[in-house]
Order: sequence, then structure tokens, then C-alpha cells
Amino acid sequence: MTVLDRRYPAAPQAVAEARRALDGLSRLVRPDCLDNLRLLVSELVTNAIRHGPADPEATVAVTVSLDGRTVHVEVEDGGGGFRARLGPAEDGTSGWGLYLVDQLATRWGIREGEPTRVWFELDHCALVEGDRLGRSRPERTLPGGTWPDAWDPVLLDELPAAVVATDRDGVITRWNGHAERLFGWAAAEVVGRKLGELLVGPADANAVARTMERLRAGDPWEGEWAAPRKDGTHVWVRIANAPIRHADGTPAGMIGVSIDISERKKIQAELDRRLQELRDSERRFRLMSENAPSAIFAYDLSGELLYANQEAEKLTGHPLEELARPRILDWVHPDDLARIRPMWDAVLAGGEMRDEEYRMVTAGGTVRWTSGSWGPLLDERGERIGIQGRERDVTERKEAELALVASEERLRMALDAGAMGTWDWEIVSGRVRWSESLEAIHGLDAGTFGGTFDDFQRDIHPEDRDRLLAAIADAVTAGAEYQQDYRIVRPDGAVRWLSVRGQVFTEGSTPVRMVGVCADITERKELERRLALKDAVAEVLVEAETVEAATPRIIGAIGRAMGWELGAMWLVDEDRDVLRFAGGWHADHESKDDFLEGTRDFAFERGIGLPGRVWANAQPAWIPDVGADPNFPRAPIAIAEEVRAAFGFPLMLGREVLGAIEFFSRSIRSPDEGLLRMVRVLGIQIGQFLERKGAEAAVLESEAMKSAILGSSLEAIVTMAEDGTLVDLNPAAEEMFGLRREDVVGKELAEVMIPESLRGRHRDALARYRQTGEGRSLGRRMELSGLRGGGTEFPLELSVARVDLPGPALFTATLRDITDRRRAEELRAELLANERTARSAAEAARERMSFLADASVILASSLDFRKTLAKVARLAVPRLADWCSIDMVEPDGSFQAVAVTHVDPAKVALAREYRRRFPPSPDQEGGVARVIATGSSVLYPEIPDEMLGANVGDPEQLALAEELGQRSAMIVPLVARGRSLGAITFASAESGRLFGRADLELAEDLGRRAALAIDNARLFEERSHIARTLQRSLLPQRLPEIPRVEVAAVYQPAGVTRTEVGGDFYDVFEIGDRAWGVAMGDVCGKGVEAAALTGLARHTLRSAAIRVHGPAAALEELNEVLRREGGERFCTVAYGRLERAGDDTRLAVACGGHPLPLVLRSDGTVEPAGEPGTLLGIFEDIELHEREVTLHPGDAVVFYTDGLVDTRMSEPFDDVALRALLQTCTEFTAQQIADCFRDAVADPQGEAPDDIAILVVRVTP
Amino acid sequence: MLELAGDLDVSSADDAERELLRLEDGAPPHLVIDLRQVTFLDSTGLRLIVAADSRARRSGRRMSVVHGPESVRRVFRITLLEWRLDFVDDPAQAIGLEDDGS
Repeated sequence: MTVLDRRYPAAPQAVAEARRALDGLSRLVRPDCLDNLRLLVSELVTNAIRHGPADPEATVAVTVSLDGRTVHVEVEDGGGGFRARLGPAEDGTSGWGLYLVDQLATRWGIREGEPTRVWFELDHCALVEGDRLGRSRPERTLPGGTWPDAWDPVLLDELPAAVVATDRDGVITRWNGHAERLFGWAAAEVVGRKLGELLVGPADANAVARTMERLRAGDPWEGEWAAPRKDGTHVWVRIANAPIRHADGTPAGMIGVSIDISERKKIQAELDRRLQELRDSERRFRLMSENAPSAIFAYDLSGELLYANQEAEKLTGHPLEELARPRILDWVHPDDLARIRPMWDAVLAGGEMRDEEYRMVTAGGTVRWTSGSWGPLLDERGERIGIQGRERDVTERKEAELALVASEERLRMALDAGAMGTWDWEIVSGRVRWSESLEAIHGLDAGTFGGTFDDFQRDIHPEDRDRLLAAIADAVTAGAEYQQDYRIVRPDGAVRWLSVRGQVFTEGSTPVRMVGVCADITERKELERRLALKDAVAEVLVEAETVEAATPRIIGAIGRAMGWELGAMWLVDEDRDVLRFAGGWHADHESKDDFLEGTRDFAFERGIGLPGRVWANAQPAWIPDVGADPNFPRAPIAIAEEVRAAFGFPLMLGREVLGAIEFFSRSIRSPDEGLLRMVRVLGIQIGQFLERKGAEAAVLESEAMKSAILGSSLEAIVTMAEDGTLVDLNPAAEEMFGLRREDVVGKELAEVMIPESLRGRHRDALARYRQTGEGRSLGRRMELSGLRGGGTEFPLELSVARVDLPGPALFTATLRDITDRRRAEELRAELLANERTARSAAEAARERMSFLADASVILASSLDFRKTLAKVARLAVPRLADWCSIDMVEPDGSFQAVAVTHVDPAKVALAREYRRRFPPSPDQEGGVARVIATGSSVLYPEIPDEMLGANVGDPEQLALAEELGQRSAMIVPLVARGRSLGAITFASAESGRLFGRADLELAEDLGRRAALAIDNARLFEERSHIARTLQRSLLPQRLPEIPRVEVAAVYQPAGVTRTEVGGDFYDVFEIGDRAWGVAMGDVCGKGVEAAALTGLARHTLRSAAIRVHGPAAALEELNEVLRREGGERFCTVAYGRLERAGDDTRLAVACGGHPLPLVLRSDGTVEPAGEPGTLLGIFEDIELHEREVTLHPGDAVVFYTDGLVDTRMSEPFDDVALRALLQTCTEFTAQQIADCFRDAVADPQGEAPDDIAILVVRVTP
Repeated sequence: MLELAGDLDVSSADDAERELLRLEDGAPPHLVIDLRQVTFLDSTGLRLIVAADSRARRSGRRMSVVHGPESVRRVFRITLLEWRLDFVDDPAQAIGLEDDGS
């Protein structure tokens, strides 16, 4: 009976729809079978969709029919795509579907075909009339359905769990290997015994009995308990029991699967304990860290927030509840994410991330630079119970640093690109010329600079004028270079910083001219100034103890750094809602300032006056001239006291304005946006300072030192008693100082941690505290030195707090090792200093590189090394030296000067003359001879005249040498492959140049390159000489004279400069009275080996020709010899026996793999002589044909090698072309024919790519 | 913690997998998949969980699964996966904050 027949489009939704359709069968199928039915249909439909045809029109059909108590289901896909695979596949991720079908269905199968149908049946599932709904218990179906057949014993043992089965009375029937190991009993010991007796103690007996009762009733049970083992110990297990039934549904017993969870139990108990401890210490921790300047976070291992301080909320902008999970990756700026992510992963995995600076996007969307340190949260035994982190806001420092680096970079680029101003001052006439770019730097239009030194002077800032002019005067006097930074005032009043470099040129001793470059470095100067300001203010803020004491110092620090003369701070009086004077400063502290005195008693409401405006808008404000400002109540005093420009900025805490600071100048100043931006930030810092001072000091409990957090803090913390005794230090401090806690606790802190030079100060301060109860160091952030491992000093930053407990005072110091930061600062300072050095070094290096590059080109240009060396010498003068000579060692050991050049053309001849008359020779002790003998170069950095005289005995020679001049010299060897080939001498004369290490290195480099080139050229010369000699020996010296027959040959090796011996050969020799042998051959390959075979072939053929008669027989003999002696090489030969018989001349020809000779008849017809045969030297059986042609007077025969045919690669010079060419050669003599052939194949340079040999035999007409 | 709900089959597994991979991208030290709201689960869902478990094992991450209703749970039991995966009764137990009621 079909109860369901549906068709769905083959899409994922079909699976859910098909299942929903099954819900309609609830009255026809037992409820406990419905789950199976739904699951199996889901699997088959999924399979049909996954593997069915990829046709958008495809459908899946589901049919359900009932037959008695059996439910029959068929699923049909659109085509034959069904893939059957049972069980999990190797990757463990697929194949589960059919495994489920196989396990749950009573029967199932596939009907292959179009379309494919998969079916399954569930027995005992369809309801028949009389069944009452809702009475049957849900069946706990276990794998395999029926017990025990489906339980493969092997499978049981492989289960990573203990499996125990009992019958319905609780008697054990199955006990797998894991159960043996887990509970300690072997299967043989327990099968047949009651489970209850084994695995439970008497106390649990009732519970077990109840469980068995429930199992018998068909309810599963599972739980965790401590099961007894055979040896009396207990093991924690998680056990799941389920009833099993016989195939007919009657209870068969139960099966229980247990896994060992004792490890987990242990870990869990441990974790609970530690978390409790952590919660206990949390209060202490909170107290300690609330006052910390860093944001602090602590999370447990599952990622739950344990603690975050107020700073954490303030820094990130996230309220506590949003920090409930560690989410640093959520706030890392996208550009830093790639860098931070792996570090964060390491932190999550238990690692650390220390002082990592990155950009944070706060909840408000602003970007802050922060320095994060994250690491494991450890309990007192050093075990990891979570992660903790600290984040410090370093935005300002970072931005200032980045801006500084950027501006330095720009300066460098400007200099490099030549985008700077240049000037030229003719000292005598006083004329000054500026480049247009310099005019632009000075704010002038192109061409409007006045052109005198006075015009230049006028622009210099009054404060810098004297200094700069003095520096220029010094440079002129000394004739030296100078470099200065100074300010100019542009026509529009803007002040710019310039950096100038100049050089003086003299005529004789009179300075005549000064030339230099100028660059605008205002931005860098400005940044340096602002950094200095930031540091100055920060210093005041960390050192000051009270707001009152800090106020004049803060204002003074800003005023001095930015060049303003007066300043005042105003604080909000909350009771009256007005701003009141809180302190003032003026640059001249000797006297009172009347404007400041007059301003004290003012109180400003919101919006009134400069402070009131700043207060109302919470923004900085600028007034170019207060006398002209409509909202400035103090204008009368200001005018009287000549106070002009002013600016003010708010002191902010969050959005609240705590007060304002204002500054005044006695000149008019236009708004400086950069300054306003910066003081805005300062205002926030000062606001925070005010708040911090207002807040109560935090309480530190002495136990806090013991807390888990303290111990694992990444910041080093040290505690000291009032008498200077070291009370405690945490592991980070141990690491920082290289000390062990147990070695140093109880000792005087100064002894072990403070460098000797600072100990006195430390002890004095401590004594003062004991007397007065006041400590100047408390609450301050200081940079000092620490002592590492009792030896080296290192810079550190620390802040000290007093632990607020009754009794003798305890101090806690938080320390940071700032070695790296210091190093970075020093590095930055070096950067500028190195800049110029690097530039000049780079230029020199570039010069050397280009010199060597030029030299390399010259050296590679020709194989004639004498010509090449002459060019090298010309290149060296004047770039490297004033004169240069190159000596080569001749084969007889003597020296020969191959090149001499001099910067002064008039002296070249002189130098040559000197070398000719007084050549260096091998038996001399110094100079060239020594360099050649030792292969090491020598450098004479400076040659005093006496030295020349001392070394040169001959007065005539000395006179010549002095005329040539030698201030400095160097001689470098020409060494290649360990052999001294010669030496190059470089000398300076007129230029007065002195050679140094760098020059010598360059010269040596040149020497090495030149030597290599010479060596290559010589090698090449030698090789081609050998090749030519060898080749000649393989060819007949001259051709024999044959009566009334002309013989001519042309042999042309490939390329004129060839170094290899070719394989072509030819021969003409007398055999007997009236017979001659004519041979043309080609041995495969080139080189000496080929040449040897060529010789063998030629001589074998000569002797064979005498012993045997016919050419074919001679070639056969040659074949035998070659096979025996020639190795793998082969050769081709055309051989003819020429015989005079009366007027006739007969030629018998045999060819072994060689092109057939061509016969040119006197009437112009061309025909080949002979027939093709096998090449020689390889095969035992060869086929050779002997043919005879008769030559009449005027007929000619041409033998040639296939080089002739191969030569013309682009247009094949085949034998058709050859014949055509030959037809044009009638009437030619043998020599003319040969030449004609050679000219036809050789390229215009007379070089042939392959060897060519041509032999022409012509019967004279 | 990933809470899955409704029927977990081929029509919904892609969404669930995307969500799962997104979570894994954050490299949590401990991943908990909560099946309590899942009403149906077949081999497609199974595959999803097993794949996540394999990835967790490979990357050294702990992964726990909160039991779903019986109809879901039995699928894991039949495939013997209940013994391979770290099943717990409720999420608090998974992250070790509460006693697991043994």
C-alpha cells in the first residue's frame, strides 16, 4: 500500500521537505520508528542530490509503502549517479550516510539503471489494525540491530572504550580488551559472573539494582562514577548503558560502554581549586593594579574575563562587559593585524608577546598606538591558569617618532634628488647668484633676488645672523667647507629653518668664490622642538608632587620650548562656575611681570575672554593681537604692557574641561596650526595629571606581593623595607637583574641592584625619608641605571609607591628595562650623523663601480690584449691616477712596457722615454719587480722627495723621475691562475692626490680583471695556434703533379679565429706508375680526438690503395681499421682511383656515406660520379659500389664535404644549387672552380660556419 | 561557543559550516558546539562535526560538543562517534566552570 509518493526538485531543500512529508505518516508508523525513517530518507535524498545528474531540471522522488508491519521506502534520482560507499571514508568525513542506512535498515539495496533507485525496509514498524498508539517504548537501537551477531569482536577491541555486555540477569557475556585494561580483570575471569558484584561496592549495590531494573524496562542510563578496579583502587569512568533486544524485540540484556575520565576529573578539580585561589586573590590584585598606568586584563583558560582595570576601559573605549572575552584581534588596526595575529596565537597557546607596539582602533573609532605585553597568567606554582595582558598608550611618542623619521627621509630625498637650492658667491665682486629653487625656499618669486651679499644677509633671522656670518667668515679664512643650520625670515614674516653647506674656492691663497647648497629643514627642526617640549612637559608631570608646585614648571616648560614670553593657568572653580588664576610664568624671572600681576584677580565665566572661550568650546584658541580682539577683558592692561599675540588650550579629562592654559607674546603672531594641535594633546595629559593628583593613593597590601598576578607579571616588581632591605622580587625582576630570589632577599637592595655610583644617593634619600617621612621619589617615574647580575649596568625606568600599611614603611617599585628604547634613541641620533658619511661613501662607491664597469667593457672588447691594456691605462688616467704604466712579463722573463699614459699629453712621451731608458727589470729589488715576484700589490701613500733620491742612484734618471713627479703611487700585480703576468703602476703627480686603501682596492680589482682578460686572450691565442698547426699536419703539404691533369684544393676552417681542429680531410697521392688516389673525407666531431682519427683514416687509405686495387676494397679495409681503432667515431669518405690510359683518363669511384663527387663535362652538363654507400667505422657489413667514369679533356671532377651543403642555413645550398653553380664553371681552371665554390658558400666576412674542403681534378683540354 | 539550531542537514549545513569556520578563524583555545537546539541531524551534520573535530585535533584546540536531544544523540551513538568526541551535557561543564553533576 503506497502511502506517500512525492517528487521534489533536486535541491538541498528537498531533504527537509521530504522529512516533513513523513510527519504525515505518524498514524501509520510506530512513533519510535519515525526517527529512523526520517533519518534514512534524509540520507537517501541527500545522496540523490549530491550524486544525481547535474541537470537543473532533475528531480528526486520518494515513495513510501507499507506491507504488513514492514515499511518500504524507495528514493529515485534523475539518473545513474548513485555512489555506494559503506562506512567512514579514510578522511573520516564521509560515507557515514550509507553506514547509517546499513545499520538502521532491516534490508536495503540499489536498483541500478535510469533512473537509479535506492530502497530500504524497516520491519516491525508499520502499525496494523489493533495496534494502540503511544504504548510502545522507544527502541534503543544499537549498531547492528541484533545482538550479538553484528558485534564483530575485532571491532569491539578497537573501540577506544571499555565495552561490557550482560544478559538480562546482569551476567557478563562480553568484556573487551579495553575493559580488561580499565578495570583490571581479564575477560576469562569475569565472563559468567554478575556485573553488580564486580563493578560496585556494597554501598552502590542498590543503585546498581535500580539501574538494572530500568535497563530491563528499556530505559538507557548514563553517568559518571568511581568504579572499583580489581586491585581495590577506583577509576573514574563515564558509562553509558543501553538495553539490547533479540530480533523479535524481547529483552536480551544490556551493553555498557565506559570511558576513562579520571584524567579529566583530576584536571577539573585542579582547575577549580586554582580558580578559587584566583578569585581570592582578585581583590588584592584589584587594589594593586587600579593605580597602574597600564590597562590590565586577565582571562581564565576558557577565555572568561577575570579582571580588567579602569584604564582598560579608558584605553579601549569598551565598557567592561564588552571586554568579557579576550579580543585584542578585534581592535588591532587592519594594517598591523598580519603582524600581531601570530603573536596573539602564541599568547593563546601559552606564549608571550612583550612590549609589542601596534595601532589600536578604539570603540570610538579613533586610532591609538599602544604597547601590549601579554603572557600566561600563572599560579604560585608557575602553572598556567589563564592569560594576562597590559596595554600602554604610546600614541604620542610613536607619532612624534614616525613624523621625525618621515621628515628626515624627506630631507634625504630632497638632497638626493637635487631638489635643493644652490648658491654661488663671487667674494671679490660681492655678487651672489641663487638658483630658482633657493629663491622659492626664501619665499621669493623667481628672478627677484637682489644678487648681493647684503640681500642674503637681510633674510637671516636676527638671532642667528651673527653666528652664521662668523661661520662664513671662518670658512673663507680657512678656505674650508662649512655647514650650518640657521633660520631665515621670509618677506611674509614666516620663519624657516635652512641647512647650508658651502665650499670656498681659492686662487693661490686668495678666496675668490664660495659655492654651496641650501635645504629647507623647517619641518624637522619643528618636530625636534616639539619632541623636546613633549619630553619637558612629561618630565614635569612625573616629577611634580603637587599641582601647585607643578603649575609654573609646566607653563615654563611649554613657554621656553615654543618661544612664548608669558603664560598662566586657570582652573575651574566648581562652586562659582568660573575660571580662577592658578599660577603664572614669565620668561624673565628676575622681575615681576605687570601683565601677569594684573591678570591674577580676574575670574572668567564661560565664553568670556581667552580662558573662557577655551573653556566653553573645549578647543584651543588663537588671538593674533589681543589689543584688537573684541572679547578680551584684559585688553587695557595688555595694551599698556605691549602684549600682542595669545593662544590658550583646555585641560581636559574625558569631555570635561578642568581648566585652561594661556600664553602671550609681545609680538603679533599668526595662528600656528601645528602648535595648536600639539597643545591640545598636552592639555589632555595635564588634565590626567590633575586628576591623578586629585585621586587618592591606592592601597597596596603586603600580601599582594604574593598574589598570582604579581608573580607572573611581565613587569618587574621589587619590594623594599624602610631600612633598605630587599623584601621580595617577582620572577620578572629576577630575570631583569639576573638574580635569584633566594640569594638576595634580606640583603640590602642597594648592594645587589644599584650601581655603585648611585648607591650613595639612594641611601641618602632613604635616610631622609626615615627622618622626615617624605620621599621625593615616590610616585615619580624615573629613568636610572640598574645593575645586572652584579656586573653590567643597564638603563631602567621605575616608579616607586609606598605600601600603605601601619608600621614601618614598605616600598614597591615597578621597573622596566629600557635598554632597547635607549638603543633606538641613540640609533636615531646616529642616523643624521651617518647621513653625510653615507652619501659621500656611496658616491665614491658609485664612482668606483662605474670605473670598473667601464674597464670591464674595454677588457671584453677585444682579444688583442696589448691594445686592450693600452685602453685600460687610458681609462685609469685621470680617473684614478695622473700617470699609469703597464708592464708584462715576456717569455724570457724580461719586462716589457705595453702601455704608458700620462694626464698631461706633453708628458706621455717623457714617461715613455723614462720607461725605455730605465726599464724595471726582474733583478731589481723593489717596485714592479717585487710586485711581479710576490704577486702582492704595494702602496706608497706619500713619497717624499728624499725617498725618490734615495732609491734612484743615476742622476739622469732622478732628473727624469722628478720631472715626471710622483706624490703617491701604487703597483698592483696582474695575476691569473697563480701566475704573475705583469703589473700596473699608478702614480699621482700634478693632482697631488694621495692614494689610500680604497684606491688600492680599486686598483687591485682592476688588476685582477685585466689579468683575467690577458690570460683568456693568451689562452685563446695558444689554442688557435695549436689547432692551426695540427690541422696543417693532416692535409697534404702540396699536391702531386699529374700529367695533363690539374689538381686544386681549398680548405677553409670554420671561422678565422677557430681554436678547434676540424674533421675534414682530403688527399691526392700517387699509387703506381699511372695511377693516383683522390680522397675527400669527414670525420665526425672536432678536436684532437677527431684529428687523430683523421690522421689514421688518411694513412690507412694510402696504404690500402697500394695493397688492393679497387676503391671499394680500399674503403672496406678502411672500415675494418676504423672499427678496430676508431672507437665510437665514424667517418665518411669519397675515394677515387685515377688512371691515365692513353688520352683517356678514367676515374673509379666508391663512396662511404659521403656526398658523391660531381663531374662537370666540358659542354656544361653535370652528373654525379659513383653511387651512395654506407658510412665507415660503425658497421661490419657495409655496402659500397664502385663506378667508373671516363673523363675527357676539359672535364672536371669536384670532391667536396657536406660542410659545403650545410653552410647556408637560411637558403639550403643543396646539391641542385651546387650543380647549377658548377654549370657556370665550364672553361674554368681547377683552381678557379675551387675558388668559385668557396666564394659561393663563404659569408662576406670570409668566415664559414662549418669547415669547407673542396678538391677539384680537371683534365686539361 | 557555537549554538546550532533546527534541522542540520544538507539544506542548512553550509551556513553552519561558514559560522564554524568563522569562529575557528579566531583561533579559540576551546571550541564548544552546542547541539541542544538541534531538532534533527543526519550524516551531513555528522560530517560537519567530525570535520571540525579533526581540525581541532590538528591545530591543538580543544573541542566539546553539548548533547542534543535523543534523536540527535543516537546518530552519534550509532556511528560510535559518541566515544570519540568530547560530549558534555551543558556548556558550563565544557569550559570547566561548574561541576558536571557526576
